[in-house]
Amino acid sequence: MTTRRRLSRTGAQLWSLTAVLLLVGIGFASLSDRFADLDNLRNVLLQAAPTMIGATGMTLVLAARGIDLSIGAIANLSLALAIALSGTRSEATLVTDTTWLVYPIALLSGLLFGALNAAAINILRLTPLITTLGTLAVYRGLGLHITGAALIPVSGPILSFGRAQVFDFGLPVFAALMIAAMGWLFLAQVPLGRQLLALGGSPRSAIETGLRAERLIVLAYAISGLCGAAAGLITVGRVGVVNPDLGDGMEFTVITAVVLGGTSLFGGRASVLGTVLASLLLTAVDNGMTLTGANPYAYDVVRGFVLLVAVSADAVSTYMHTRGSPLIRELRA
Amino acid sequence: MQKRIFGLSLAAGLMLTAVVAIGLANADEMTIGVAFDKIEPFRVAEKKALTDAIAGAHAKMVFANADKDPQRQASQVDSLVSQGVTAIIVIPWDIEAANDLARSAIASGIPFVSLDQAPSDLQSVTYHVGGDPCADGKVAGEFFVKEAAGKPFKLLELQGGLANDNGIRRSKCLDEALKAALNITIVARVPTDWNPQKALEGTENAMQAHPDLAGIYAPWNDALQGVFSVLKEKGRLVPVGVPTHIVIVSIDGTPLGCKAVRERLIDLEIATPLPEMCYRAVVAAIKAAGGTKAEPHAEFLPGIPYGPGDVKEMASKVWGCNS
Repeated sequence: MTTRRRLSRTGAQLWSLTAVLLLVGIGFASLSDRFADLDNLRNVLLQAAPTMIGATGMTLVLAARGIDLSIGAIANLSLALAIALSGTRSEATLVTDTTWLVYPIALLSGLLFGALNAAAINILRLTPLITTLGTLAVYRGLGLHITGAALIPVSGPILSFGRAQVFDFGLPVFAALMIAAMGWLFLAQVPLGRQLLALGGSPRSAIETGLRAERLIVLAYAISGLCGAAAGLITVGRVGVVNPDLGDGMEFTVITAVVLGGTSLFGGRASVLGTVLASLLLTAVDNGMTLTGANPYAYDVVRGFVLLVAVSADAVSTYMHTRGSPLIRELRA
Repeated sequence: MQKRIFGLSLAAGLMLTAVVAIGLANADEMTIGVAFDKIEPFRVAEKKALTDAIAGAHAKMVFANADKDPQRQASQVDSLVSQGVTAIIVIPWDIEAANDLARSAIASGIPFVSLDQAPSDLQSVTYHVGGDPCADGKVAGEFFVKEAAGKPFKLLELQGGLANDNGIRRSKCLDEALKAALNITIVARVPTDWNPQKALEGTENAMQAHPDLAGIYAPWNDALQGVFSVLKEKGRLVPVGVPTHIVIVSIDGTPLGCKAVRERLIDLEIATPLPEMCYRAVVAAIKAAGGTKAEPHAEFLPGIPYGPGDVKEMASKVWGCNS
């Protein structure tokens, strides 16, 4: 498949995803007059920000034919470490006061744990799935050990990033959009990004043409870890607490967003824009369900249904796209 | 209330004495296997209470954490059985799978006590002790009815685990208590899976749709931080008694719950009698190992309600106010 064809297919997927997002929006807006409010759109963007950031990192990993199941555990451990190293707990108020150091410590930790994943994959030659499944348990266990599985309310600068507002939008929204834009630019314009896609598309060919596969893998996983920690910082900043479940299940949400957005689980094809749209879709569904007072048991059903519709729309658009391709016509003939 | 608390304290004291007495009689052999479903702040407190009770009985404790994995919990229980522990105390993660685990352990001659989370078939276990999620939910519902005082009242219900006995019954029995109060409308029921982040997002979304929200039911204390973050942002985090205050009821009795009551940020807290629960589990386990049948077979201990008005008097009865 040529690059042009890959991009066209991705374009078709983006259109189908946009159509599903619009349909979901229209559906919820007809059921709740608050759904289409500007305030609520700000709300959806803010709630989608951690997923968007984590999913952008995961897009790079999947593009290189990898997977990072430990991204949520990295968020947990990075925050636990940062709080332990930069915070001071008051026994009287039960609150841990933080300093600005919490940011560099958390982000550097995320970067390091991501790079450790890559090192394990490169050195042990294990599949990314098994490696990150193992590190998921290790990182989560270490996080629990550091926090003592306690709920840690926090105060000070750690709250600033998650709660700051710029032009009435949460600062995390701008951070998420900026990170997504950087991810898109990286994959589309930067040679290293193109090399990641080439590695994911055909590892053997990539290595034979002289690409430094191990270095690329370290880069992808380190960025994913960094994004996991950034997502954790936003979540903790907003909730005001480090809880033992922080990041639990995050891997599934971000992988769903990435795959739904059109990135291939088998590498070589990635769409950061699709990832952003899918993150918004997943968040909008939850938001709309609460606004319409839906039955709590219906949440998973509706989520699953929307996913199926999005995947089906993608399949249809891909079929429509490939049906007219010279290759398919040639094969049919 | 005072009489009941006095009675419970006396019973706890007597039981602890019994545990020590029985423990001293079997000092050399006793090892209690404890298998938790997960580790989180409430479980940490339960582990400490169990450790104290088991140490009080001069027994040893072997601890395992399933980390929300029913398969892992099954393996851990199997391994406790093969180690030949005296008795097993389990907080089940999967309330259906717990029945088979219990039958298998009992068939091997090891008493199986379930704690906190009831298995779907209570007859399968040697003994069960837990909080009374239904009673707690009813107390919460009755409180909202009283606070609403016949006026229109919009309530947000944050739900814990939908596949979890405590989560289901805390919700179901709230509904029962609210059934007759037609002035109260539950505007949203948000499944959170006990996650504070989901509690925050659910509160944020509900307040978006209903700025005139009058009450929030947060049936576990860890949800409170997320709720408070939203209320603070909306300028509604004000003490009980201020006209713009949103009525909040929570359950658990953790240190953070007690702190929220002391700061007058929540109206009612229903404290689970955690130390009492753990003592009873240990007593029943040791008694059953000695051949004495647990009577009654299952106990559900209602929570201790308290609020800003009586927190000073009630603090000594609430485990979280003394931690």
